[in-house]
Amino acid sequence: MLPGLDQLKHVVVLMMENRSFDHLLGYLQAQDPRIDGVDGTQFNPDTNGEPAHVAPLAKYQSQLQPDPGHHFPDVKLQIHGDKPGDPKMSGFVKAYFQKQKNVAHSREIMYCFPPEKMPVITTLARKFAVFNRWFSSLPGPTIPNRAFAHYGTSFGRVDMNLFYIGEKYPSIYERMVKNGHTAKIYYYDLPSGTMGMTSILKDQPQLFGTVTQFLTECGTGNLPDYSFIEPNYTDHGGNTGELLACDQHPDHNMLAGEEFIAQIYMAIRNNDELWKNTALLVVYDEHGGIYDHVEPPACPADEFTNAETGFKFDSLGVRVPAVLISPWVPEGTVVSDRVFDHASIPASVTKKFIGDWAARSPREKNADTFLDLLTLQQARQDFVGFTTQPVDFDFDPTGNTMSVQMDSAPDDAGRPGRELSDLLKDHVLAIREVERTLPPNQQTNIDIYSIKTEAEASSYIAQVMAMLHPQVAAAGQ
Amino acid sequence: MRRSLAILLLLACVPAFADETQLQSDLRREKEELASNCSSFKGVFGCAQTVVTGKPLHLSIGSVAPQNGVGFGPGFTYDKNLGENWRTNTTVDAVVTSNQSWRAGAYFKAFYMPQEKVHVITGPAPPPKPLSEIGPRAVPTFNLYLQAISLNKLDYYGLGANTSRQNLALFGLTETILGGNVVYPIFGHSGVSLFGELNGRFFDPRGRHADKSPSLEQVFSESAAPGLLRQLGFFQAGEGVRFDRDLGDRLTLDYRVTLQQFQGITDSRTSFQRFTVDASHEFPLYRKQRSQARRGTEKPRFTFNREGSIGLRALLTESYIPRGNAIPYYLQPTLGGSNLNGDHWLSSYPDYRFRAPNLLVFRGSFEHVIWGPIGGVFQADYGKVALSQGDLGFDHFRHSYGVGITVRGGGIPAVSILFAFGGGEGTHTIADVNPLLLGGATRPSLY
Repeated sequence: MLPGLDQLKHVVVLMMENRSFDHLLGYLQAQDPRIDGVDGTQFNPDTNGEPAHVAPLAKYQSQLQPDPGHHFPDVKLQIHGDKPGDPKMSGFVKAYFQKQKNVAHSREIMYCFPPEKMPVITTLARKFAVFNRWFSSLPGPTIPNRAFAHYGTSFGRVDMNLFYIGEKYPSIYERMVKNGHTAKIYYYDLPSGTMGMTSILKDQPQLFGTVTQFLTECGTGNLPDYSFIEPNYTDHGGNTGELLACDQHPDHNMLAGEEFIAQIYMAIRNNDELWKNTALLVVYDEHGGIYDHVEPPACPADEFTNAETGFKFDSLGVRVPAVLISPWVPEGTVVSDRVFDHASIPASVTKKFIGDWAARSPREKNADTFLDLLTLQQARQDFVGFTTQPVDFDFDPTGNTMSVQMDSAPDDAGRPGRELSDLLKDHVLAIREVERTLPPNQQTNIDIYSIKTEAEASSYIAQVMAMLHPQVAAAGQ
Repeated sequence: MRRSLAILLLLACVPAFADETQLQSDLRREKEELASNCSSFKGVFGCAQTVVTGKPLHLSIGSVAPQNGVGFGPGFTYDKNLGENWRTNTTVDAVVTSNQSWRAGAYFKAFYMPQEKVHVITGPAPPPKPLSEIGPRAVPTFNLYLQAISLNKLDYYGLGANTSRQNLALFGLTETILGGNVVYPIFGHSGVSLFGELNGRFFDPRGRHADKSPSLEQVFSESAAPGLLRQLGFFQAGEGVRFDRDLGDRLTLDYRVTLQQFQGITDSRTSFQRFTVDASHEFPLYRKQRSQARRGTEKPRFTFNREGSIGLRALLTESYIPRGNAIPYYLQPTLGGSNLNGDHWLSSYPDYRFRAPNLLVFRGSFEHVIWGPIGGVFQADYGKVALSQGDLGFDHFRHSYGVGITVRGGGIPAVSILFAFGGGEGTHTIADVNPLLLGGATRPSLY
């Protein structure tokens, strides 16, 4: 067994709301070509037939009012267009026009975030594992997609009915409890509520906690075996000011969501023991009607068919961002050759903690699992962190790197055999990030963790820079 | 005339040809939704949902004040985000109850999301000191409102702690409030915020002659009911500090300290100041749950389930009245049943039972899961009102107890039914939804 998987004690899933892969992570492709994102050439026709191109112009809020359509008929239009023969993934602008008949406004559905505007999710994606092929479980709205994360199926539903009572298969939480394990849905607070309504009237209180409780339990190390976290779904008044929704559902403020992702991640990261034996998956329930360029693939049908639409759950929904975070995941992992959806969540948790469990939907049984991505033989020692307060470091926002402010040159400055300073270590890490954007045959394949001296660091940096700027290197020679 | 009509029709058609605004699009889609959901009996649930929760137009439902019933009427709500920082909500609604009481108001709320820079810190090892806390936190909130409310039946027993139920008299009251308030968080994630408000309040009390009980002016004089049936106006300012913080998972604190100045506009002899401290403490109760160890040598792992809570709350109101002045009776806080804002204190007593410029009340509560989503609750209130601050002591408290059940949603009581008793003046059964679940517009306090 992989050592990381062997040591794994806690799985934490944070499910955010309604953003597509391209919208959040698409422009990371410029930093790492292995990421299947966008480059500005992708477009959809608007209702006047004019092309609306993707562009890194997304704002934290105010562009996606009214909420883009993401119910079954809306998504059908987004994927298949409005007439036979339309290219796939060409109906997003037209679908948004149906919401508000304003051509200029409808084109904003193509806007994506520049990575520097979303430093938390993009940094986690690049520092850990990002999935190129994680799709929502069905071309429909929030609740049935979340049901796949809870049950591995939506029992034939594509609507927003919250109540899943007396269903054929137990939720992953009930499975865990029945098998002597602990599992909890941590929701933000009472006014925000939980969309884990699937179990809301049973198995209380062991299946529910609040995010405050989660944060405390990260500190004490008393997390359940499996935790599912729900963000704040609503702007609502607290006693000391308004608490903003942090679920990133349009048109909630994206920055609040970024801070929430960082808060959950840092709560785990700040407890060294917990960090070593926890895997955190940050994933979005569905695309929210926002553009993505990858056509959802077919999948083995579920045993349930939606009576109203005839949908057999034999194709996935639109692609969503998903990032797996663990010290056992190699930095810069891009998972490209495997397909996942939300049924992969109960499938992975069941496989890890319970083993064989027959009473599951066909969709869950067929879903790929993701915990085998914890492939490292040793846990990583490096640090990735987030804060909104000024730190004693200089910060380069484009490179996501830290440089330590040095007040004066140390005594051994100028000696090539000198050990790496923190500054130089980070510079090497940054160069390594840049190197990853090069084609594989131009990469040095140097293990940067074997670099111990300034001379070795200089040599490594020079080799990468020569690949990046061959003309400059040639002139220098 | 014909030409004017044609121009009007043309103007009405403009939106059909021009690009839709957000509001036009909201209205169009709500109309489509109503047409789709309410065209057949099959869609009755969806139809009801659209009618009650639809945006921007909907049916507004809500209690206006104890004794005056539940009101129904048209409502309008509209959310608009401006740029990357400002979020706004506008609500306009009007409700009327079965006893012809009514409330109409327009409420505008704006809150500001500062664009804090998120610093990404990477390195070969954790930094020498922990990074400061990151995460969503409360943001500054600004409220503006204009509200008029007319209440046809309010109880009055006289002022002070020793009034008799036999002295019950009734009155009606119309109050118009124009103003705003600000809640401004400070010190990052500290949970501390500053509060400020500026209001104009205009009161028009009246007698009520439609019941067996006499009307206020038939029983009480101006000295026993200051401001008796006089129209009065106030300029009212308020400042305060609030503190709301979870201390780990063991204690939640919610403190509010407010100082308000009521300056009589129409009669300066009604001016006064009010100081209020409201301190809530909640101690969650947890049960340890053991997770099955994965390997024989591994230590068992535990998690904690919230089984219930113990609550302690204290409310103190003191009024500072310049010599020769008197506080109008309808601006004096009450204990018993529910007060004008719908808060329950000494619940077994009749609504508005005790009224005076000062009050001190304590509440202890215990709630615990019984089975599945059902919990039990016990509550005890001890409190008194006092005509002067010197009379506020820890003696001669009135008391009221309550027992009931809670329906727990997500591990926390969401709905409760409480049978209140013990005060010697009857009982009350109170069905309550956890106030945290009640959204809607931020309405100003009525007193």
